Amino acid sequence: MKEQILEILEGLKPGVSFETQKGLVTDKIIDSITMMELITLLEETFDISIGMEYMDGKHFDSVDSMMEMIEELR
Amino acid sequence: MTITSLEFAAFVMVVFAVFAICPRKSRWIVLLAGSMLFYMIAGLEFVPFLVATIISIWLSSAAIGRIWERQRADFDQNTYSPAEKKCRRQKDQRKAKAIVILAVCINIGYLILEKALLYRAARANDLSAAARVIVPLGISYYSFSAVGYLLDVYWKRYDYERNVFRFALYAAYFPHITQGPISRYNLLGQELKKELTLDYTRVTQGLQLVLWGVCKKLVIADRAMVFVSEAFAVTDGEGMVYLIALALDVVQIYADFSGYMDIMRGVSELFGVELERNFDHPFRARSVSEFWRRWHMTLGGWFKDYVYYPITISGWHKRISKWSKQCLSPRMAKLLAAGIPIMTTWLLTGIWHGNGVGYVAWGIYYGTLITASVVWSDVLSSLPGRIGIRADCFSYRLFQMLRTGCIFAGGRLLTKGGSFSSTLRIIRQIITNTHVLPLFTGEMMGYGLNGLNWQILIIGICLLAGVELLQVKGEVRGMIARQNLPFRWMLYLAGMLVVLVYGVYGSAYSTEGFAYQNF
Repeated sequence: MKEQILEILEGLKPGVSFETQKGLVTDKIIDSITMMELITLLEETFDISIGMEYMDGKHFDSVDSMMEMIEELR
Repeated sequence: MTITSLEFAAFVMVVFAVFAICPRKSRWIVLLAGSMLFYMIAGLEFVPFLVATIISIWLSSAAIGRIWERQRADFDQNTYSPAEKKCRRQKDQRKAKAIVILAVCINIGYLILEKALLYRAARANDLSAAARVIVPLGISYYSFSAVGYLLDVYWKRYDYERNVFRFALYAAYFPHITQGPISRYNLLGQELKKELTLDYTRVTQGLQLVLWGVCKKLVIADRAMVFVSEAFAVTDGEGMVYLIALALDVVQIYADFSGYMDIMRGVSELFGVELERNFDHPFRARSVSEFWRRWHMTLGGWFKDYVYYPITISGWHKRISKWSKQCLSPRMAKLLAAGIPIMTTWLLTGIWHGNGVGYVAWGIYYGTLITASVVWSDVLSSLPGRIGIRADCFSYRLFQMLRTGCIFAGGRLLTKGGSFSSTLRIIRQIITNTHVLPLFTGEMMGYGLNGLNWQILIIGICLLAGVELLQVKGEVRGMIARQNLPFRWMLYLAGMLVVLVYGVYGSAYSTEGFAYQNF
């Protein structure tokens, strides 16, 4: 799962080392437009539906938090 | 009671004095009482609207909070199959959603009604009808803060506030009610719940911030406004005058709004409460998208979280996106998927800013620019290289910042002129009747500012720019605090003297109300 998430992120924003980077949303590395694309790709890849309760930024702040969210939604 | 008035200063001193002598645990009550008093002074007729918002939103959040609590308790104590849990979740979701829709309709509904009535009165040129519409002070700000809190409770981001008076303080807190920031409950609400202490450094630095805000407002913003309002009062003037007025309008709105924010953040710091920032050096932005992440950040954040994201993850938008990926070219699919939420968000942002076609045009202007920058991001980012321009140097970054500033000024032009037809006439004058000579013939002295005032304004703008540049290096108040006492006091006294001598007030001028306070 981690590799798939990293591949998606690197495709959206090349040049950032997402594996270790924290604060992706709080530090504005991912903006709202990129978030929209990220959500679409995560939903298609993992067959999940992300609701508004996960849109507070902290669930997308790092690869680890995205993995936790996907596990919860599965 | 404007916040640059002696009445406001006296009000803050009284509240602070009572706050200081009260036990720490009761200080939030002093702030609540002070905030309600502030609102009553603004207008007794406004109070029922604020109270109605507080009660309706709090009751709604309590009802929704209890639905989620009962659900959690039930799932913890009893065993259900996944299908039963799903059924229960859907049933509770429907109940909670109905409460949210009702509360949002009541609160945002009045905001929409008020705008519609004012628009109708303006179209009919009916001043008496416009005067009959009650526009509670800060309704756009406190309604948005309150509705944001309710939606966060509905989306289970945090528990509801059990104490209605604590919630009332968050909604009515006087430093943020008039012009924002549009605070989030998990930030300002929690700030107001901590033990409020007095701290000498924080109080003195708060006062410094207040002084800087007053300087920006009275010395720079109100002075620039004199020229701007006289220049745009006519629609068949010289194009160069409009261009200078537009540049000064950008300075005016920034100095006015950020000056207000500095004053209120400084006042709030006296009580140990940190308000969210609303500006992050917007004129350093290198694109329109970046600009709006740095200007009026709390409004942009509100629309992003409560309009843009709900649209993008809604079922119907996902279906449209899926269909467009299957049936349209990749570029057109992206245009549709990105364009719908972006244009909707910006249209609503434009309407929030004002009534009239000009504000709708403003929303379309930014929505179009941002949508285009998203959809054609690959083309735009490769353009400098393809035409032989280096993009990784200071000169290009400077060009980007100036370009963004011009785009912002262009957007401001859409709302000048009083009516859309007047705006179009002004634009025509800029295109067809702009000459360089008026800059050297003294024509700029004919719009309310004499030579001395122009000098003060230019020095003020240079000072503002200098402080902005310093702020990039670090907190300016911290830099001042590290200097020796005589230097620091020389600076404070100079600031007070500048405000007293060069502030725009008195019989010759009228102290303009803050630009964003009638929202």
